Amino acid sequence: MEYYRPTSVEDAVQILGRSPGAACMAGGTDLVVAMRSHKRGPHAIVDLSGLGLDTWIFDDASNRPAKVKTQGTKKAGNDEQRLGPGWRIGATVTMAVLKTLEDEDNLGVGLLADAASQVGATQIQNRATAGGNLCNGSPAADAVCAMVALDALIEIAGPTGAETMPIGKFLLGPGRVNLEPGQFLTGIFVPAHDMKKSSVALQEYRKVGSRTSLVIAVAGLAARTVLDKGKVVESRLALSSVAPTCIRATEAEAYLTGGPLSPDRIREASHLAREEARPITDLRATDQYRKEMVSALVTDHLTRAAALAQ
Amino acid sequence: MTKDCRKWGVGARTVRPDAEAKVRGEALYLADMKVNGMLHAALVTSPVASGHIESLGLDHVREEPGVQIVLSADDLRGANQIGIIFDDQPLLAAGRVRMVGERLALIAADSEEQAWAAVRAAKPQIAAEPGVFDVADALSPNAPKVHDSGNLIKEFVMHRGHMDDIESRADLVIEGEYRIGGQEHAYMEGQGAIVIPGPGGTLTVYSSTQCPFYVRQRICRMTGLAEADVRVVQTVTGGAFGGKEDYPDEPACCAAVLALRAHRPVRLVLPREVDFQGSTKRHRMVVRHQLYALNSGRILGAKVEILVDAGAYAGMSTVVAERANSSCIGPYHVDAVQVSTKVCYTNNLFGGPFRGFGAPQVSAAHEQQMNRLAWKLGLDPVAVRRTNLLNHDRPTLATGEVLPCADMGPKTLDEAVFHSKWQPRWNESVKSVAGVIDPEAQGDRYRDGMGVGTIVYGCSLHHGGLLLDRGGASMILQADGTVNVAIGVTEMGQGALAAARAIASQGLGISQERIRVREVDSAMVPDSGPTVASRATLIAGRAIMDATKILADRLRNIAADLLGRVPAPQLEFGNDRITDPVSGRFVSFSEAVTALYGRRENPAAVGWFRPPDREYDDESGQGGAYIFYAFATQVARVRVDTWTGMVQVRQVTAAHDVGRAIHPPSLEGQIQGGVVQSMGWATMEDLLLDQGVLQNPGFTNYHIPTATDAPDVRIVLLEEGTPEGPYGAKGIGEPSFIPGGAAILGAVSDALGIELTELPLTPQRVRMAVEAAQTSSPEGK
Amino acid sequence: MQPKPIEEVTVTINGRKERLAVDPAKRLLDVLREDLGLTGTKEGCGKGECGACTVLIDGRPVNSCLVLVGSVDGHEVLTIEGLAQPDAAMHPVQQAFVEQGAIQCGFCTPGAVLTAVSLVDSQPAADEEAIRRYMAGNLCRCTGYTKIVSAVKTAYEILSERKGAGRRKKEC
Repeated sequence: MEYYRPTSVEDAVQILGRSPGAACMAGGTDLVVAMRSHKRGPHAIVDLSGLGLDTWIFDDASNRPAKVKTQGTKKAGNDEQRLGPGWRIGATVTMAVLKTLEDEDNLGVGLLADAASQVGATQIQNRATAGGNLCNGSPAADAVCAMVALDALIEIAGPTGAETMPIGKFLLGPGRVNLEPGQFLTGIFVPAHDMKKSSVALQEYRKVGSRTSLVIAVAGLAARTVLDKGKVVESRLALSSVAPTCIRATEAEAYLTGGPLSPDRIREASHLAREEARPITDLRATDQYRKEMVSALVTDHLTRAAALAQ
Repeated sequence: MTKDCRKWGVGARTVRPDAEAKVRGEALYLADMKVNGMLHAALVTSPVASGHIESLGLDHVREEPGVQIVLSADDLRGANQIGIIFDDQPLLAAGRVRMVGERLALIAADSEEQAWAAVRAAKPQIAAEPGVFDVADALSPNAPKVHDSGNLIKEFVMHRGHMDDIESRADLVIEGEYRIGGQEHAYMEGQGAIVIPGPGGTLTVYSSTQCPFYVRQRICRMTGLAEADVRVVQTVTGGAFGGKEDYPDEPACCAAVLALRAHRPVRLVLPREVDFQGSTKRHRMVVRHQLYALNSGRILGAKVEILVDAGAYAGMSTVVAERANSSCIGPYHVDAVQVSTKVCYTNNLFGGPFRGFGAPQVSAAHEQQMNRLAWKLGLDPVAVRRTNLLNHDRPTLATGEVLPCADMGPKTLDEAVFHSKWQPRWNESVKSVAGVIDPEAQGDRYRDGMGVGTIVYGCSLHHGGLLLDRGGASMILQADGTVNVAIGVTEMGQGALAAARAIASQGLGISQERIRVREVDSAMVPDSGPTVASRATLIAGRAIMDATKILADRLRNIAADLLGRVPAPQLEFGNDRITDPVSGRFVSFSEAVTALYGRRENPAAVGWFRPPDREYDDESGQGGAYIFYAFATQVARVRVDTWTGMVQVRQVTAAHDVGRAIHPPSLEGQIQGGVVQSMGWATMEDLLLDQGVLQNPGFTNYHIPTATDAPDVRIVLLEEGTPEGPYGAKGIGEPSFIPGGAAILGAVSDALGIELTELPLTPQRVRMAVEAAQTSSPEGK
Repeated sequence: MQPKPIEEVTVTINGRKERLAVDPAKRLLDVLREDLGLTGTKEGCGKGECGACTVLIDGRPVNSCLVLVGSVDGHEVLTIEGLAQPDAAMHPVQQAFVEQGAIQCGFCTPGAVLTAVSLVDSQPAADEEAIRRYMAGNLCRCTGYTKIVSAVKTAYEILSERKGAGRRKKEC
């Protein structure tokens, strides 16, 4: 097996161009397990850890243009769109680093930090990366769930140049992501979600599993609820492990936005989220239990958000 | 209180002898050892639980890189039979397979990687046949036969008193069917063996095992070699818990067969998934329990039927069942019992020994029966236990054995109740809306509960294993005053070496630092039986006491001379001295040993312990089953999230009748570890089977407790001694585990107001129980 | 110039720079155990679920069963053997594990010790909950964790004593 450790994105693109079956590796926590259990047997590994993608910056993005792909297919053309301020996070930034992202102003990234702190345990957090969590395509990925909640953008390099796409377009299904041969993920952009001084926010990642740490979610919720004068002004509810990918409970979000968090409305939102979940039964849990857990997680989050607003 | 900082004798809080090598990474476990010319073995195993072998598909395996030897059943020269009690288990499957993971062929290759790569080249063709996957169906007339002899391996019974009589006297009968799950040992070091062929057909075997003498016996049986020609050396063993009682013989036999064929050393280390699927597990059991009682809470007796899922081969399942059979009434006085325990073949996982040996499953049942009786009568579960526990007025167990220590049951209960601040919530209004996922039910979402488990455990082997119940120790006083001790029981993490050293130290009155105790070498000590059944301290300890007495008597005479003809019997050993208490004069231990060597006297001794004979009747299950008994009570405090079903075990108070703490840090470690292992079994460890295939054969989905799951463990020790135990010590390895599951089952039931009857209490199972209770409750939604 | 696959790895192991002519796709765990004879690092599961193979890379604990050696090129690896030389005094964390009786079968011990070393190095004073959370990736089947947690607390005391910040209560 050939092992490459390129030191520039260009070199990585070149290697992947001539070795289409090569596997990209960031932290290796998923790839090495897959190789050991013979689920994957790449003829070459492209180790991305030498690309310098292991840092993040807060980008106030003062009028800097970025390409955002808004159509589902690649050839549909890229629209120019201005990104607001946000965090540019390299693909190989580890969970250990993500969890140190501070968010005193509740701009959203704290939700990602919270989710990152619940991936595996210390050892995994020191190796597992933002990009790896995404490219592994697991619907149970904790950090990905937070990225979905925050409308993260995915930055990709490849033979046809760099491009950016919304996370919802990137995640295709269990183990499947929207990368063409020769492409790889270079980073994510997490937009800052501003809020008024008068608002209060609860942003958190919670999951249900059979033990308190080192556990793959049976169901998870990455949520950000912003209230202003008793009404929900921003509602983000992303669910893990209850659909082929991490998904947004869009109907519940739409229902919540603009109204107060009364018990009745919390009940209804939980019901909507529960119906939006499309879980399967597997060895970890039944579909029924997973749906119940969506209710539990959403009710729990919204109830505490309501208390915060009091 | 000032700490006891003594460095000699029993009870001293010393550092374990094996601690430093382990903490420096210097201790050599099996997979850390290499031998020149060593081949690596791998196993081709069956993916099918029940079927007929059409072909093994090994043609390409022989051509794989590095492959030296491939053996199937047809290639074996010795007996293809490794059943430890019944002759029902081949080393390599012949004709048919009965379990997933059953061995079809053995491979030896130049490297470990090549050996397991070659396994993937094997393409066995097995025609699947119907199997038995629920022990409750195993004995139905239509069930497929796992073996031609039928699915009932053996039945054990216990009969006492007149059932008719108590049936007519009883005011009420509590009936329950309990489905209790199995458990993977999850020793951190997996199974393995190294076998080195020597001159003249001899073998040296390195094995990660609890029972080196079992390994030797089974290799000798397979190969026809003499016991004196097979030397089994126990390597530093990374956890066992019963999982390394009989199972290590299998990898050892595999490696031995390959080594004899190759004339080269062979190492076999099982990858974790292979280990999970193929090695022994705690038995799944179904326990049908009818408890006959009076309205006062007094129980009269019980009728119990136990089904034990042995898996495809008997292994040691009958022995486990024998303990389940005699333990299923618990530490309570009864007038009559009628118990039947049926051990059945299925095509599920291979049942075997696991800490508690059948007792935890039946204890969960008998304790929940006691709780249900209390709840039914509106009584405190502790009060019902007090009413029925054995004591000096009613000291007779359901097996008919009279316990001299019967008062220890109520004492452990009292201590646990006191230290846990026992306050169950059962008599509060419990059938409420808890569990409805509703923003307004948030306040009632988390439910706290308490549960209690009281047990009595027969230490050492059951009467059925009496022949193996003995043990030896050999000791050599070295000229410089240090001491070597060889024992026949094994260190697997529990602290056997520390306990043996403390006992030797007490017997000679010398610092523990002078004494070296080593892992077992079968050529150095007599067969001391298996290191199981919480017997290590007893067996090694008493044998060491026998040896130290011999040596101390010799030294006593020498010291008497050195001190100028003081009467030898009055001399005392302690503090590295031999002292005349009358004059206060002493000689140092080293001086005495120097004098012994000067006189060319024998510096060695072999000690022996033979527990007393006992009478036991298999037909009635009555008699002296065990040498002595240890009581224990644990109280669990849980918090249940009714929305998710998650059970948090917050605190366990463990009151144990330990006799005497020989090496306190190890004793505490046993209790803390036993409690957490039991909590894992009761709350999260779920062996998920589909047609005999384990769906979660690894730590990714088979969850054992982490540091964040473990409860606060409070230990209360009762040290009242027992005459048979070394310096009064009883066993602790298993009593630490057994009551925990029962206490947690009771605590979760208490929290929810639901009479649960299944273990493990996984979140999904608890949540389902909550939902079921809501739909059946008038107050529920 | 075309980027070439790498064929050797330079890595500092236990303070010594090693140029290793090994397959870069080999697991760090195997390189340590097989090529360098550092068998203090144990393999418990091979899937990053048990923590027995924990080593420190640049001071941070990782599961060496999930690390391909090519990816540590240019980095520093510390194994249990490097924490204290055989003839040298034990590291305070090792000393604490020994004193507290936090070692039973010992198979998880080297990994747990290294995780604890990184904890005491990176967080000045972790409370019990933080200790448990940090150590959650090191499974132990023997101890029930109580004495491991006590050992980490004791390690903090030993370290603060060394800094001259008061004497700790010693058990014996």
